[in-house]
Amino acid sequence: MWSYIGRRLLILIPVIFGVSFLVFGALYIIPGDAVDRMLAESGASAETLARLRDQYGLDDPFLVQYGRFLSQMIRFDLGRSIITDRSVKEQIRNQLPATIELTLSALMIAFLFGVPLGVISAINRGSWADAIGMLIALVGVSMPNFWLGLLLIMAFSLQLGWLPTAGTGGLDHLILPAVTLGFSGIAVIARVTRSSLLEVMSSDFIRTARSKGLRQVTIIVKHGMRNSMASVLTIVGLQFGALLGGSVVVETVFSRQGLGFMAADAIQSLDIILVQGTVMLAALAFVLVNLLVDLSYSLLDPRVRYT
Amino acid sequence: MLLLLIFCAVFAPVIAPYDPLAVAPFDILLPPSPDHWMGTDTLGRDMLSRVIFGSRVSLRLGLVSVSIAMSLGILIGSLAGYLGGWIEAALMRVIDILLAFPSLILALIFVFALGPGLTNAMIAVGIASIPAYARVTRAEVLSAKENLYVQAAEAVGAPSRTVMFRHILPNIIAPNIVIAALGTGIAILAGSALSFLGLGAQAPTPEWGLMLSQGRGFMSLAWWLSFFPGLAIMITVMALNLLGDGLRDVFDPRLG
Amino acid sequence: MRFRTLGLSLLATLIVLSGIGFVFADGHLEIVYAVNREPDTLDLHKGSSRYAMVPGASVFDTYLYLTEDGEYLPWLAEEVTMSDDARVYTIRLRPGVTFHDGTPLNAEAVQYNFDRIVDPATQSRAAVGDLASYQRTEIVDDLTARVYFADPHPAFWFGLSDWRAGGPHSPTALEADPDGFARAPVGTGPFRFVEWVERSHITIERNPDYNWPYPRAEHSGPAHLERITFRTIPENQSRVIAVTTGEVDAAMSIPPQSVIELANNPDIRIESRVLPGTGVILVVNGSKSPTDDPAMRQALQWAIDPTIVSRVGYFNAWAPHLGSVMSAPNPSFLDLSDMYGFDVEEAGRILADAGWADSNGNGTLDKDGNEAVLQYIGFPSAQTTRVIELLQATLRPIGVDVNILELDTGAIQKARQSGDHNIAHLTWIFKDGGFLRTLFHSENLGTGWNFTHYPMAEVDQLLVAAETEADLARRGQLIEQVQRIMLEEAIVIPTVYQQQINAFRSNVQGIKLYEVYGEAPYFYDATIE
Repeated sequence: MWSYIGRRLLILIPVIFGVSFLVFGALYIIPGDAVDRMLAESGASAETLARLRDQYGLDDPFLVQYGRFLSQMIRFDLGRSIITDRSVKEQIRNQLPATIELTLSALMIAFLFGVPLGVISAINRGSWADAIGMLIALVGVSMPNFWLGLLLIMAFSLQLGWLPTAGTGGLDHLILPAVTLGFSGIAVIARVTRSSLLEVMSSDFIRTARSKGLRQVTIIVKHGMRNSMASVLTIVGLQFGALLGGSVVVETVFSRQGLGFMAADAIQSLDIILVQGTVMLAALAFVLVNLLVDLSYSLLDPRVRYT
Repeated sequence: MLLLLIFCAVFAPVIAPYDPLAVAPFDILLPPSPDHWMGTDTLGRDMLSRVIFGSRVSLRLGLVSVSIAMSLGILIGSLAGYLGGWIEAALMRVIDILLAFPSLILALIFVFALGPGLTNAMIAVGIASIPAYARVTRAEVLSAKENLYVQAAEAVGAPSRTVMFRHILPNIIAPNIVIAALGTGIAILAGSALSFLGLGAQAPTPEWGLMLSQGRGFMSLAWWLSFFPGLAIMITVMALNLLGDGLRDVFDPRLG
Repeated sequence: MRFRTLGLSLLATLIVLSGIGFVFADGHLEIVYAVNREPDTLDLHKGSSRYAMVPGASVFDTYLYLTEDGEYLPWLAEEVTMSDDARVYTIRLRPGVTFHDGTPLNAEAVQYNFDRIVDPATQSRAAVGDLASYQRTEIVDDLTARVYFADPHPAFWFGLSDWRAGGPHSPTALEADPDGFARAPVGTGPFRFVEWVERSHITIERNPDYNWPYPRAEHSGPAHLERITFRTIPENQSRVIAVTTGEVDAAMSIPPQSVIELANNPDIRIESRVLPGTGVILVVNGSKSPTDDPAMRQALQWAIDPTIVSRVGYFNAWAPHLGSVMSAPNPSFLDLSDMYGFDVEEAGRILADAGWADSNGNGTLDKDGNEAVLQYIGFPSAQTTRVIELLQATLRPIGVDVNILELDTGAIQKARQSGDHNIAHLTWIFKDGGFLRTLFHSENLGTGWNFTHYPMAEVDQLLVAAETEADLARRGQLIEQVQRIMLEEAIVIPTVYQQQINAFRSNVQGIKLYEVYGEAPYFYDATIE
């Protein structure tokens, strides 16, 4: 097990190196930089701009800039944003809690509604309950989250006036964004729960349990659920990526504090250094979560062995 | 449902009641009525016509990006699977790198680098979805290589190109088609999200995501501006998902 | 059973969610003000964003107060005198003014502020412009400072009324933490800085020691309100909904389309202010075909009616532009709306007379092998898109096409500088007429902000003369002449004035907007019921 973890971490090194090259390279080739953009908006003088360019080393050759980027990364320094003249790390640190709050709530909603929905569908396979459950799941995966967000705003903020439209704050500010972000997760988790549960329930040991006269519910909870959680967990890993991507859209729709909205803004204002830092962080988080998911298989599904 | 969409896309100029770009300064923001089933937008353009024309844009977006993803994915996957060795290792690391990003964020980076626009959005979404095809293809190629008939063909000295195309390729088509059907829906969602964020299609293109984002500013004044384009996206993606599920059941009952 | 599972999970979600934190803050005398953008920094010496003035105007005071009529009233400075050559200014401070950290505002502080702005290490982006050829500040006595410039600098009056250069920052706080000041500003204003939760809100609270209100104030002593929260809500529609539902007490930068809707709401009061500067204008490229032909430029003037642009593009909330390159609130603004009539058919006749005809039958006019296709460049936004689509629809019937050049934001400036456009969208906010030099002097062609690509010697001379003319009346005449020439040459197309529109809940009273730009609110007299 430990050697497996070690090997997985070792493979990560070239991957992370490649990720950094891709992030840096992609953003390097953009025509126009943040300094141009500032010029276009604030009308700063030509000397100011030349000084800024020089200070941020924007005119250095590619490899020099990439080398600087890498050496900063190794020291966990993400640089300074040109637009706000502030450390990227600090900006990320300020935005991170709001995004974590949102993604965890969304994940929780996805889980707490998705799993029961899948279970209900599986138990009642072929019935109208199954059909409704799977229709909800189909709608969930097909609905653009930005549209769902707008519909929720129209219904709950504009018409009913129950919940705020935008901004960051307490629970009332969290509900609509979390539901919007979690909705597709409900669908995905329900589908996976249903199919893996069906698979498990047709296996031998469940049939044995059933023949021993155990109650349906007991069987599902004790045996079925445990065994199907491994596949649900895989999906959680993938869902985490979807949530990170989705948070860009959802935070934008709800004008909510967070990394995603900050990244979207940074893209609009060509704040390259801020985009680089945020995207690197998102990629690292995603890779690590997937690693953790892989590792936790063994805890839930004893059949998985590391070789 | 899908046929209806394709019908809309193909015959858009015939069935659309108005020119989707025709501006009517005196008919702005009319609510849905018998004249304009989905109302008119801020420039007095007929929403129904724009939504119908939007089906062309969205289906094209889905198909083009999936074609990009599938062709590159199959190429990478089969090269890796068939040739093995360091080429396989290198190619799969590239795929790992792409997989290290949540796909929408990967698409965002590419569209950011290439600059906003519909074509660039298609390319970005396409590149971001390569890994799924590449991985499946590689796995299928590897298992096909183990098959006796491939080994036999190689043993009798068939050129590797022949082996590849005649014996292995047919095996990898089916799973890729299933992924492609589901992937088209995902690509349409991703593309419209990019447009919604202002990085995809640009005005005055009748693209659903863009229409939605333009309509967003008029939510309290004209709900129809953001309602119908979103509905259109959902119905399209739903149809493609149903198609994908159906294909999966046909080609690969194990996954159902 | 299955419903119980569902019910339980619902309950569990709610319990967990509420554990995450439920903040409910609502006190008396507290206002939530929705803003569309965060400042870049609250160190106004450094920053360049106009949005810094929104909280900035409450945290900082200025030496002088500029009225709508262009008059400079004493505020932190009891008296300012300028030497005849406009090179030396003497500032006499009001006694008894203290910063929020308790330190006094004295001549030394004035010197520290100006010296810091011009220090290259400060990397000032905007304030340094207000100081131009600044040399040094001399401390005459504790409350009197004398500022020296190398060149005549009449615009320093404006600098003294602008928060960036004219709003004293506490030297003690700056010395203690020069970088941290950006996030913890210390000024002399009626409100003290409390916190800035990035991308969420900025909070300020009443300064109990305050007793030096701005000249137009209606009371003395500390402000009425105890606390103000500036909540960042970038999306226009979300701000409108937030003020409609009462989530916030006021919202700035209301989009034009929402004005009618809000104006009909009895709980809401709308305040609209025309901003000085250029207004929304289209700059015409005088050297690129087809707009190198004066007839084409004249035709555009006839075809593009500001009234229609105002109605379709801005729902009448931004008023039609009556001048040329200057907005109505600017001193020496000239109403030139009768120079051209607005008649698309006349535009067609002008083109026909000048030899434009559709000789190849493609539906678009041409002349000497050049097609009448206008390339348009602008930052994409809902309004500009609507305007340009309107233009396309207006000009199509007379055989002129408009093509939008799709560029990303970084490339737009380069394309405008190299003249890839025929018409470029431009807005510029500025009070003093001197800004015209930045936009229309030929020295700023190619690398600067002059997108006309059409050098005009007479305009150049007038602009240079205006910059150093100390006689305000004479200066006004020079600037009027520039406005007239620009429109005669048809090198700009005025469309609408730029307007700052704010919405207030009716229980909020007494918020006054900065008379010049309108985005900076004065909360000193404000009350809430």
